[in-house]
Amino acid sequence: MFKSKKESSVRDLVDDHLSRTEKCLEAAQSVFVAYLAGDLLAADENATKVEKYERAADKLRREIYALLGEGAFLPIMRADIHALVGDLDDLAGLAEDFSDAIVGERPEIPPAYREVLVEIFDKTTHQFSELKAGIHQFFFAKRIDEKETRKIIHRVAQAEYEIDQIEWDLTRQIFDSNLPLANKLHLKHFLGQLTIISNKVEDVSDTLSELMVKLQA
Amino acid sequence: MWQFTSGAFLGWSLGSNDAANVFGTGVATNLVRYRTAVILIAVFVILGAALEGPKCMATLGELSKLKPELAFISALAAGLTLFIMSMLSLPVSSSQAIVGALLAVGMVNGSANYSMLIKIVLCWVLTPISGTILGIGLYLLLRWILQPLLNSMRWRTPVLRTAVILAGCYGAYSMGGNNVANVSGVYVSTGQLSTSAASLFGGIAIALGVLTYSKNVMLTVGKGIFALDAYSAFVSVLALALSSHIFTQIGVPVSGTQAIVGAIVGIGLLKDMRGISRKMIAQISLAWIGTPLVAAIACYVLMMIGSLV
Repeated sequence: MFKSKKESSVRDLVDDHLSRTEKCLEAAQSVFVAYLAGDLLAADENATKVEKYERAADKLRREIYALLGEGAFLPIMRADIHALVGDLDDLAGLAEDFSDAIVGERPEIPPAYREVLVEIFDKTTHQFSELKAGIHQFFFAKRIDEKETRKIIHRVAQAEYEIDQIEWDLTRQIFDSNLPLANKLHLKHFLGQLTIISNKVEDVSDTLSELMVKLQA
Repeated sequence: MWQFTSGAFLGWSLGSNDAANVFGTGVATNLVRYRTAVILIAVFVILGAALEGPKCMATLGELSKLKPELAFISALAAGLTLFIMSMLSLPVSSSQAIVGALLAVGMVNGSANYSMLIKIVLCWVLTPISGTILGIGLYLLLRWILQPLLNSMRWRTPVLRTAVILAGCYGAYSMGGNNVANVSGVYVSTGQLSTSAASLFGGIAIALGVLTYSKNVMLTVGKGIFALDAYSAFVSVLALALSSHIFTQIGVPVSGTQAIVGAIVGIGLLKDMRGISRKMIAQISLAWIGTPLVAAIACYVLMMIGSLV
Protein backbone atom coordinates (compact mmCIF):
# COMPACT_ATOMS: atom_id res chain seq x y z
CA MET A 1 0.00 0.00 0.00
CA PHE A 2 2.72 2.45 1.00
CA LYS A 3 5.56 1.31 -1.29
CA SER A 4 6.35 3.81 -4.00
CA LYS A 5 6.66 2.47 -7.54
CA LYS A 6 7.99 5.85 -8.68
CA GLU A 7 10.93 5.68 -6.26
CA SER A 8 11.67 2.12 -7.21
CA SER A 9 11.63 3.15 -10.89
CA VAL A 10 13.94 6.13 -10.20
CA ARG A 11 16.40 3.86 -8.39
CA ASP A 12 16.41 1.38 -11.28
CA LEU A 13 16.78 4.18 -13.84
CA VAL A 14 19.68 5.75 -11.91
CA ASP A 15 21.36 2.35 -11.82
CA ASP A 16 20.83 1.98 -15.56
CA HIS A 17 22.16 5.52 -16.11
CA LEU A 18 25.30 4.66 -14.14
CA SER A 19 25.89 1.61 -16.36
CA ARG A 20 25.38 3.60 -19.56
CA THR A 21 27.70 6.37 -18.36
CA GLU A 22 30.33 3.79 -17.42
CA LYS A 23 30.06 2.18 -20.86
CA CYS A 24 30.24 5.62 -22.44
CA LEU A 25 33.49 6.31 -20.55
CA GLU A 26 34.93 2.90 -21.47
CA ALA A 27 34.04 3.45 -25.13
CA ALA A 28 35.70 6.91 -25.04
CA GLN A 29 38.79 5.27 -23.54
CA SER A 30 38.74 2.74 -26.39
CA VAL A 31 38.53 5.62 -28.89
CA PHE A 32 41.66 7.12 -27.32
CA VAL A 33 43.60 3.84 -27.19
CA ALA A 34 42.71 3.02 -30.81
CA TYR A 35 43.69 6.54 -31.90
CA LEU A 36 47.06 6.31 -30.13
CA ALA A 37 47.62 2.94 -31.84
CA GLY A 38 46.88 4.61 -35.18
CA ASP A 39 43.72 2.55 -35.78
CA LEU A 40 41.35 5.33 -36.92
CA LEU A 41 38.68 2.90 -38.09
CA ALA A 42 38.42 1.37 -34.60
CA ALA A 43 38.46 4.86 -33.11
CA ASP A 44 35.50 5.85 -35.32
CA GLU A 45 33.60 2.68 -34.44
CA ASN A 46 34.07 3.30 -30.72
CA ALA A 47 33.10 6.96 -31.15
CA THR A 48 29.77 5.74 -32.55
CA LYS A 49 29.34 3.61 -29.42
CA VAL A 50 30.10 6.64 -27.24
CA GLU A 51 27.33 8.60 -28.99
CA LYS A 52 24.90 5.68 -28.58
CA TYR A 53 25.55 5.38 -24.83
CA GLU A 54 25.39 9.15 -24.34
CA ARG A 55 21.98 9.30 -26.07
CA ALA A 56 20.72 6.38 -23.99
CA ALA A 57 21.90 8.10 -20.79
CA ASP A 58 20.21 11.33 -21.87
CA LYS A 59 16.91 9.50 -22.41
CA LEU A 60 17.18 7.94 -18.95
CA ARG A 61 17.88 11.35 -17.43
CA ARG A 62 14.65 12.73 -18.90
CA GLU A 63 12.68 9.75 -17.57
CA ILE A 64 14.16 10.27 -14.10
CA TYR A 65 13.35 14.00 -14.19
CA ALA A 66 9.76 13.20 -15.15
CA LEU A 67 9.36 10.81 -12.20
CA LEU A 68 10.91 13.32 -9.80
CA GLY A 69 8.47 15.91 -11.15
CA GLU A 70 5.62 13.52 -10.40
CA GLY A 71 6.69 13.45 -6.74
CA ALA A 72 9.14 10.58 -6.31
CA PHE A 73 11.12 10.92 -3.06
CA LEU A 74 10.69 13.54 -0.35
CA PRO A 75 11.05 17.14 -1.57
CA ILE A 76 14.08 17.72 0.68
CA MET A 77 16.02 15.16 -1.40
CA ARG A 78 14.39 15.62 -4.78
CA ALA A 79 16.46 18.62 -5.89
CA ASP A 80 19.73 16.89 -4.98
CA ILE A 81 18.75 13.68 -6.78
CA HIS A 82 17.88 15.88 -9.77
CA ALA A 83 21.31 17.55 -9.55
CA LEU A 84 23.09 14.22 -9.13
CA VAL A 85 21.48 12.77 -12.26
CA GLY A 86 22.13 16.00 -14.17
CA ASP A 87 25.85 15.90 -13.26
CA LEU A 88 26.00 12.21 -14.12
CA ASP A 89 24.52 12.98 -17.51
CA ASP A 90 27.03 15.81 -18.02
CA LEU A 91 29.72 13.24 -17.37
CA ALA A 92 28.53 11.15 -20.33
CA GLY A 93 28.38 14.36 -22.37
CA LEU A 94 32.01 15.19 -21.48
CA ALA A 95 33.11 11.70 -22.49
CA GLU A 96 31.39 12.28 -25.84
CA ASP A 97 33.10 15.69 -26.22
CA PHE A 98 36.47 14.04 -25.58
CA SER A 99 35.72 11.32 -28.11
CA ASP A 100 34.58 13.91 -30.69
CA ALA A 101 37.77 15.91 -30.10
CA ILE A 102 39.88 12.87 -30.96
CA VAL A 103 38.05 11.79 -34.09
CA GLY A 104 37.24 15.32 -35.22
CA GLU A 105 40.39 17.28 -34.39
CA ARG A 106 42.92 14.41 -34.45
CA PRO A 107 45.39 16.12 -32.11
CA GLU A 108 49.08 15.47 -32.60
CA ILE A 109 50.23 13.74 -29.42
CA PRO A 110 54.01 13.30 -29.07
CA PRO A 111 54.96 9.77 -27.81
CA ALA A 112 56.47 11.24 -24.63
CA TYR A 113 53.05 12.37 -23.40
CA ARG A 114 50.97 9.35 -24.38
CA GLU A 115 51.65 7.23 -21.30
CA VAL A 116 50.69 10.07 -18.96
CA LEU A 117 47.45 10.73 -20.84
CA VAL A 118 46.52 7.04 -20.71
CA GLU A 119 47.33 7.06 -16.98
CA ILE A 120 44.94 10.01 -16.48
CA PHE A 121 42.16 8.15 -18.27
CA ASP A 122 42.81 4.97 -16.24
CA LYS A 123 42.63 6.96 -13.03
CA THR A 124 39.41 8.61 -14.20
CA THR A 125 37.66 5.31 -15.00
CA HIS A 126 38.79 3.91 -11.64
CA GLN A 127 37.53 7.07 -9.96
CA PHE A 128 34.17 6.60 -11.69
CA SER A 129 33.98 2.96 -10.55
CA GLU A 130 34.36 4.18 -6.96
CA LEU A 131 31.60 6.75 -7.48
CA LYS A 132 29.33 4.16 -9.08
CA ALA A 133 29.72 1.89 -6.04
CA GLY A 134 28.91 4.82 -3.73
CA ILE A 135 25.78 5.83 -5.64
CA HIS A 136 24.62 2.22 -5.91
CA GLN A 137 25.07 1.82 -2.16
CA PHE A 138 23.14 5.02 -1.51
CA PHE A 139 20.13 3.99 -3.56
CA PHE A 140 20.01 0.25 -2.94
CA ALA A 141 21.54 -0.60 0.45
CA LYS A 142 19.12 -1.84 3.10
CA ARG A 143 21.04 0.37 5.47
CA ILE A 144 23.50 2.88 4.08
CA ASP A 145 27.01 2.40 5.41
CA GLU A 146 27.75 6.06 6.04
CA LYS A 147 31.41 5.54 6.90
CA GLU A 148 32.05 3.52 3.75
CA THR A 149 30.25 6.06 1.57
CA ARG A 150 32.28 8.88 3.14
CA LYS A 151 35.47 6.91 2.39
CA ILE A 152 34.38 6.51 -1.23
CA ILE A 153 33.67 10.25 -1.51
CA HIS A 154 37.12 10.94 -0.04
CA ARG A 155 38.82 8.56 -2.50
CA VAL A 156 37.02 10.22 -5.44
CA ALA A 157 38.25 13.63 -4.28
CA GLN A 158 41.78 12.24 -3.78
CA ALA A 159 41.82 10.86 -7.33
CA GLU A 160 40.75 14.24 -8.69
CA TYR A 161 43.58 15.90 -6.75
CA GLU A 162 46.13 13.43 -8.13
CA ILE A 163 44.86 13.99 -11.68
CA ASP A 164 45.17 17.76 -11.14
CA GLN A 165 48.81 17.28 -10.13
CA ILE A 166 49.53 15.17 -13.20
CA GLU A 167 47.75 17.73 -15.40
CA TRP A 168 49.88 20.54 -13.97
CA ASP A 169 53.15 18.65 -14.49
CA LEU A 170 52.16 17.73 -18.02
CA THR A 171 51.15 21.30 -18.80
CA ARG A 172 54.59 22.48 -17.70
CA GLN A 173 56.24 19.80 -19.84
CA ILE A 174 54.17 20.81 -22.87
CA PHE A 175 54.99 24.49 -22.56
CA ASP A 176 58.66 23.82 -21.79
CA SER A 177 58.94 21.74 -24.97
CA ASN A 178 60.02 22.91 -28.43
CA LEU A 179 56.64 22.20 -29.97
CA PRO A 180 55.05 25.00 -32.04
CA LEU A 181 52.74 27.21 -30.01
CA ALA A 182 49.67 26.02 -31.95
CA ASN A 183 50.46 22.41 -30.98
CA LYS A 184 51.05 23.40 -27.37
CA LEU A 185 47.70 25.17 -27.18
CA HIS A 186 45.92 22.31 -28.90
CA LEU A 187 47.46 19.78 -26.52
CA LYS A 188 46.61 21.95 -23.53
CA HIS A 189 43.00 22.19 -24.72
CA PHE A 190 42.87 18.42 -25.30
CA LEU A 191 44.32 17.77 -21.84
CA GLY A 192 41.66 20.04 -20.35
CA GLN A 193 38.94 18.05 -22.12
CA LEU A 194 40.26 14.89 -20.51
CA THR A 195 40.75 16.18 -16.97
CA ILE A 196 37.37 17.92 -16.84
CA ILE A 197 35.81 14.43 -16.75
CA SER A 198 37.52 13.77 -13.43
CA ASN A 199 36.35 17.17 -12.12
CA LYS A 200 32.77 16.23 -13.00
CA VAL A 201 33.10 12.85 -11.24
CA GLU A 202 34.08 14.81 -8.13
CA ASP A 203 31.06 17.14 -8.60
CA VAL A 204 28.74 14.11 -8.61
CA SER A 205 30.37 12.79 -5.45
CA ASP A 206 29.86 16.21 -3.81
CA THR A 207 26.14 15.98 -4.57
CA LEU A 208 26.14 12.46 -3.13
CA SER A 209 27.71 13.95 -0.01
CA GLU A 210 24.87 16.51 0.23
CA LEU A 211 22.33 13.71 -0.08
CA MET A 212 24.05 11.86 2.76
CA VAL A 213 23.68 14.95 4.96
CA LYS A 214 19.96 15.22 4.13
CA LEU A 215 19.46 11.56 4.92
CA GLN A 216 20.75 12.21 8.41
CA ALA A 217 18.38 15.16 8.97
CA MET B 1 -32.77 25.14 16.55
CA TRP B 2 -31.33 28.39 15.16
CA GLN B 3 -29.12 28.67 18.25
CA PHE B 4 -27.04 25.77 16.92
CA THR B 5 -25.98 27.75 13.83
CA SER B 6 -23.25 29.60 15.77
CA GLY B 7 -21.88 26.31 17.10
CA ALA B 8 -21.88 24.92 13.58
CA PHE B 9 -20.01 28.04 12.40
CA LEU B 10 -17.46 27.68 15.23
CA GLY B 11 -16.97 24.00 14.41
CA TRP B 12 -16.58 24.77 10.72
CA SER B 13 -13.96 27.49 11.46
CA LEU B 14 -12.11 25.15 13.81
CA GLY B 15 -12.07 22.35 11.26
CA SER B 16 -10.88 24.56 8.42
CA ASN B 17 -8.02 25.93 10.58
CA ASP B 18 -6.85 22.99 12.66
CA ALA B 19 -6.86 20.32 9.94
CA ALA B 20 -3.49 21.74 8.91
CA ASN B 21 -1.93 20.72 12.23
CA VAL B 22 -2.48 17.03 11.68
CA PHE B 23 -2.07 16.49 7.95
CA GLY B 24 -0.48 19.71 6.67
CA THR B 25 2.94 18.08 6.55
CA GLY B 26 1.75 15.03 4.68
CA VAL B 27 -0.14 17.05 2.08
CA ALA B 28 2.55 19.72 1.61
CA THR B 29 5.16 17.02 0.97
CA ASN B 30 2.93 14.97 -1.37
CA LEU B 31 3.12 12.02 1.00
CA VAL B 32 -0.68 12.06 1.21
CA ARG B 33 -3.19 13.42 -1.31
CA TYR B 34 -5.30 16.32 -0.04
CA ARG B 35 -8.54 14.43 -0.73
CA THR B 36 -7.33 11.37 1.18
CA ALA B 37 -6.13 13.54 4.06
CA VAL B 38 -9.40 15.42 4.54
CA ILE B 39 -11.44 12.21 4.37
CA LEU B 40 -9.20 10.59 7.00
CA ILE B 41 -9.38 13.68 9.21
CA ALA B 42 -13.18 13.91 8.91
CA VAL B 43 -13.63 10.23 9.82
CA PHE B 44 -11.23 10.31 12.77
CA VAL B 45 -12.47 13.68 14.07
CA ILE B 46 -16.03 12.33 14.26
CA LEU B 47 -14.76 9.10 15.82
CA GLY B 48 -12.71 11.02 18.41
CA ALA B 49 -15.58 13.38 19.14
CA ALA B 50 -18.03 10.52 19.66
CA LEU B 51 -15.72 8.37 21.81
CA GLU B 52 -13.68 10.96 23.76
CA GLY B 53 -15.66 14.20 23.39
CA PRO B 54 -17.94 13.80 26.41
CA LYS B 55 -14.88 13.91 28.73
CA CYS B 56 -14.39 17.65 28.13
CA MET B 57 -18.03 18.76 27.90
CA ALA B 58 -18.58 19.36 31.62
CA THR B 59 -15.54 21.61 32.03
CA LEU B 60 -16.81 24.40 29.80
CA GLY B 61 -20.34 24.07 31.21
CA GLU B 62 -18.97 24.82 34.68
CA LEU B 63 -17.24 28.04 33.58
CA SER B 64 -20.44 30.12 33.57
CA LYS B 65 -24.22 29.70 33.67
CA LEU B 66 -25.80 29.91 30.23
CA LYS B 67 -29.22 30.42 28.73
CA PRO B 68 -29.83 29.21 25.12
CA GLU B 69 -29.44 32.71 23.64
CA LEU B 70 -26.17 33.24 25.58
CA ALA B 71 -24.92 29.87 24.32
CA PHE B 72 -25.62 31.09 20.79
CA ILE B 73 -23.80 34.38 21.38
CA SER B 74 -20.73 32.87 23.05
CA ALA B 75 -20.29 30.29 20.26
CA LEU B 76 -20.79 33.05 17.67
CA ALA B 77 -18.23 35.30 19.39
CA ALA B 78 -15.71 32.46 19.50
CA GLY B 79 -16.40 31.58 15.86
CA LEU B 80 -15.99 35.20 14.75
CA THR B 81 -12.76 35.50 16.76
CA LEU B 82 -11.40 32.39 15.09
CA PHE B 83 -12.48 33.62 11.65
CA ILE B 84 -11.19 37.20 12.01
CA MET B 85 -7.85 36.32 13.65
CA SER B 86 -7.21 33.67 11.01
CA MET B 87 -7.99 36.21 8.29
CA LEU B 88 -5.42 38.54 9.90
CA SER B 89 -2.93 35.62 10.09
CA LEU B 90 -2.77 36.00 13.88
CA PRO B 91 -2.25 32.97 16.15
CA VAL B 92 -5.58 31.74 17.43
CA SER B 93 -7.04 28.87 19.45
CA SER B 94 -10.67 27.74 19.56
CA SER B 95 -10.31 26.66 23.21
CA GLN B 96 -9.07 30.09 24.23
CA ALA B 97 -11.73 31.82 22.14
CA ILE B 98 -14.66 29.95 23.69
CA VAL B 99 -13.25 30.37 27.20
CA GLY B 100 -12.85 34.13 26.59
CA ALA B 101 -16.45 34.35 25.40
CA LEU B 102 -17.82 32.26 28.29
CA LEU B 103 -15.85 34.31 30.77
CA ALA B 104 -17.41 37.50 29.38
CA VAL B 105 -20.86 35.95 29.86
CA GLY B 106 -19.95 34.85 33.39
CA MET B 107 -18.61 38.28 34.32
CA VAL B 108 -21.72 39.99 33.02
CA ASN B 109 -24.23 37.69 34.73
CA GLY B 110 -22.03 37.09 37.78
CA SER B 111 -21.71 33.35 37.28
CA ALA B 112 -18.01 33.12 36.35
CA ASN B 113 -16.30 30.11 37.97
CA TYR B 114 -12.76 31.39 38.57
CA SER B 115 -11.41 28.19 40.12
CA MET B 116 -12.35 26.36 36.91
CA LEU B 117 -10.72 29.19 34.95
CA ILE B 118 -7.49 28.70 36.89
CA LYS B 119 -7.54 24.96 36.07
CA ILE B 120 -8.10 25.75 32.39
CA VAL B 121 -5.39 28.44 32.22
CA LEU B 122 -2.95 26.09 33.97
CA CYS B 123 -3.62 23.51 31.25
CA TRP B 124 -3.07 26.17 28.57
CA VAL B 125 0.35 26.90 30.05
CA LEU B 126 1.11 23.19 30.29
CA THR B 127 0.03 22.49 26.68
CA PRO B 128 3.11 23.84 24.87
CA ILE B 129 5.34 22.59 27.70
CA SER B 130 3.94 19.07 27.32
CA GLY B 131 4.33 19.44 23.55
CA THR B 132 7.99 20.35 24.06
CA ILE B 133 8.68 17.47 26.45
CA LEU B 134 6.83 14.95 24.28
CA GLY B 135 8.48 16.35 21.15
CA ILE B 136 11.97 15.86 22.58
CA GLY B 137 11.18 12.45 24.08
CA LEU B 138 9.47 11.07 20.99
CA TYR B 139 12.13 12.50 18.69
CA LEU B 140 14.92 10.67 20.51
CA LEU B 141 12.99 7.46 21.14
CA LEU B 142 11.58 7.05 17.64
CA ARG B 143 14.87 7.99 16.01
CA TRP B 144 16.50 5.18 17.97
CA ILE B 145 13.80 2.76 16.79
CA LEU B 146 13.41 3.95 13.19
CA GLN B 147 16.98 4.99 12.34
CA PRO B 148 17.86 1.72 10.54
CA LEU B 149 14.85 2.19 8.23
CA LEU B 150 15.24 5.95 7.78
CA ASN B 151 18.87 5.41 6.82
CA SER B 152 17.84 3.67 3.62
CA MET B 153 16.58 5.19 0.38
CA ARG B 154 14.55 2.01 -0.14
CA TRP B 155 12.59 2.40 3.11
CA ARG B 156 12.78 6.06 4.05
CA THR B 157 9.78 7.39 2.12
CA PRO B 158 7.44 4.39 2.73
CA VAL B 159 8.23 4.47 6.46
CA LEU B 160 7.74 8.23 6.74
CA ARG B 161 4.54 8.06 4.68
CA THR B 162 3.09 5.37 6.95
CA ALA B 163 4.21 7.25 10.05
CA VAL B 164 2.72 10.56 8.85
CA ILE B 165 -0.62 8.88 8.01
CA LEU B 166 -0.84 7.06 11.35
CA ALA B 167 0.17 10.14 13.35
CA GLY B 168 -2.28 12.26 11.33
CA CYS B 169 -5.17 9.87 12.01
CA TYR B 170 -4.32 9.80 15.72
CA GLY B 171 -3.99 13.59 15.68
CA ALA B 172 -7.44 13.94 14.06
CA TYR B 173 -8.92 11.54 16.63
CA SER B 174 -7.39 13.56 19.49
CA MET B 175 -8.47 16.84 17.89
CA GLY B 176 -12.06 15.61 17.68
CA GLY B 177 -12.01 14.29 21.23
CA ASN B 178 -10.47 17.38 22.76
CA ASN B 179 -11.94 20.24 20.72
CA VAL B 180 -15.53 19.11 20.22
CA ALA B 181 -16.45 20.54 23.63
CA ASN B 182 -15.41 24.00 22.38
CA VAL B 183 -17.97 23.71 19.61
CA SER B 184 -20.97 22.18 21.32
CA GLY B 185 -20.23 22.14 25.06
CA VAL B 186 -22.35 25.27 25.53
CA TYR B 187 -25.47 23.42 24.32
CA VAL B 188 -24.93 20.68 26.89
CA SER B 189 -24.75 23.17 29.74
CA THR B 190 -28.04 24.77 28.61
CA GLY B 191 -29.64 21.33 28.36
CA GLN B 192 -30.40 21.77 24.67
CA LEU B 193 -28.35 18.71 23.68
CA SER B 194 -27.33 15.50 25.40
CA THR B 195 -23.58 14.89 25.77
CA SER B 196 -23.52 12.27 23.02
CA ALA B 197 -25.68 14.34 20.65
CA ALA B 198 -23.44 17.38 21.25
CA SER B 199 -20.36 15.27 20.55
CA LEU B 200 -21.79 14.05 17.26
CA PHE B 201 -23.03 17.52 16.27
CA GLY B 202 -19.66 19.15 17.06
CA GLY B 203 -17.70 16.37 15.36
CA ILE B 204 -19.74 16.72 12.17
CA ALA B 205 -19.36 20.54 12.21
CA ILE B 206 -15.56 20.23 12.54
CA ALA B 207 -15.49 17.57 9.83
CA LEU B 208 -17.44 19.86 7.48
CA GLY B 209 -14.87 22.62 7.99
CA VAL B 210 -12.10 20.14 7.21
CA LEU B 211 -13.84 18.87 4.09
CA THR B 212 -14.87 22.23 2.64
CA TYR B 213 -12.34 24.92 3.52
CA SER B 214 -9.00 23.59 4.78
CA LYS B 215 -6.84 23.38 1.67
CA ASN B 216 -5.09 26.78 1.74
CA VAL B 217 -4.33 26.73 5.46
CA MET B 218 -3.19 23.14 5.19
CA LEU B 219 -0.69 23.90 2.45
CA THR B 220 0.60 27.09 4.12
CA VAL B 221 0.99 25.63 7.61
CA GLY B 222 2.20 22.31 6.24
CA LYS B 223 5.05 23.94 4.36
CA GLY B 224 5.93 25.95 7.47
CA ILE B 225 6.09 22.83 9.63
CA PHE B 226 7.94 20.91 6.96
CA ALA B 227 10.71 23.54 7.03
CA LEU B 228 12.19 21.28 9.71
CA ASP B 229 12.26 17.90 7.91
CA ALA B 230 9.77 15.09 7.36
CA TYR B 231 10.81 13.06 10.41
CA SER B 232 10.66 16.06 12.78
CA ALA B 233 7.29 17.04 11.35
CA PHE B 234 5.93 13.53 11.95
CA VAL B 235 7.18 13.61 15.55
CA SER B 236 5.55 17.04 16.06
CA VAL B 237 2.17 15.72 14.92
CA LEU B 238 2.50 12.67 17.17
CA ALA B 239 3.39 14.90 20.13
CA LEU B 240 0.32 17.05 19.40
CA ALA B 241 -1.91 13.97 19.27
CA LEU B 242 -0.54 12.52 22.49
CA SER B 243 -0.63 15.85 24.30
CA SER B 244 -4.25 16.56 23.27
CA HIS B 245 -5.23 13.02 24.23
CA ILE B 246 -3.72 13.43 27.70
CA PHE B 247 -5.56 16.73 28.30
CA THR B 248 -8.79 15.11 27.12
CA GLN B 249 -8.43 12.56 29.92
CA ILE B 250 -8.09 15.50 32.37
CA GLY B 251 -11.21 16.99 30.77
CA VAL B 252 -9.76 20.27 29.52
CA PRO B 253 -9.94 21.44 25.89
CA VAL B 254 -6.55 22.83 24.85
CA SER B 255 -4.96 24.28 21.75
CA GLY B 256 -3.61 21.70 19.33
CA THR B 257 -1.68 24.44 17.55
CA GLN B 258 0.15 25.34 20.75
CA ALA B 259 0.92 21.68 21.45
CA ILE B 260 2.49 21.23 18.00
CA VAL B 261 4.34 24.54 18.29
CA GLY B 262 5.69 23.35 21.65
CA ALA B 263 6.86 20.13 20.00
CA ILE B 264 8.57 22.08 17.20
CA VAL B 265 10.29 24.27 19.81
CA GLY B 266 11.52 21.11 21.57
CA ILE B 267 12.90 19.64 18.37
CA GLY B 268 14.37 23.05 17.54
CA LEU B 269 16.17 23.04 20.89
CA LEU B 270 17.54 19.57 20.17
CA LYS B 271 18.81 20.84 16.83
CA ASP B 272 20.05 24.12 18.28
CA MET B 273 17.56 26.24 16.30
CA ARG B 274 16.91 28.86 18.99
CA GLY B 275 15.75 31.51 16.51
CA ILE B 276 12.67 29.47 15.60
CA SER B 277 11.94 28.80 19.26
CA ARG B 278 11.89 32.49 20.24
CA LYS B 279 9.51 33.38 17.41
CA MET B 280 7.15 30.57 18.27
CA ILE B 281 7.12 31.36 21.98
CA ALA B 282 6.21 34.95 21.11
CA GLN B 283 3.34 33.68 18.95
CA ILE B 284 1.97 31.47 21.72
CA SER B 285 2.14 34.31 24.23
CA LEU B 286 0.27 36.56 21.84
CA ALA B 287 -2.44 33.90 21.36
CA TRP B 288 -2.80 33.39 25.15
CA ILE B 289 -3.57 37.05 25.66
CA GLY B 290 -5.07 38.07 22.33
CA THR B 291 -7.57 35.27 21.65
CA PRO B 292 -9.56 35.28 24.93
CA LEU B 293 -9.47 39.08 24.98
CA VAL B 294 -10.85 39.46 21.45
CA ALA B 295 -13.46 36.73 22.07
CA ALA B 296 -14.54 38.34 25.35
CA ILE B 297 -14.91 41.76 23.71
CA ALA B 298 -16.77 40.23 20.74
CA CYS B 299 -19.10 38.39 23.12
CA TYR B 300 -19.78 41.53 25.17
CA VAL B 301 -20.53 43.54 22.01
CA LEU B 302 -22.87 40.80 20.74
CA MET B 303 -24.65 40.72 24.12
CA MET B 304 -25.11 44.49 23.92
CA ILE B 305 -26.51 44.21 20.40
CA GLY B 306 -28.86 41.47 21.58
CA SER B 307 -29.81 43.65 24.59
CA LEU B 308 -28.72 40.88 26.94
CA VAL B 309 -26.46 43.08 29.11
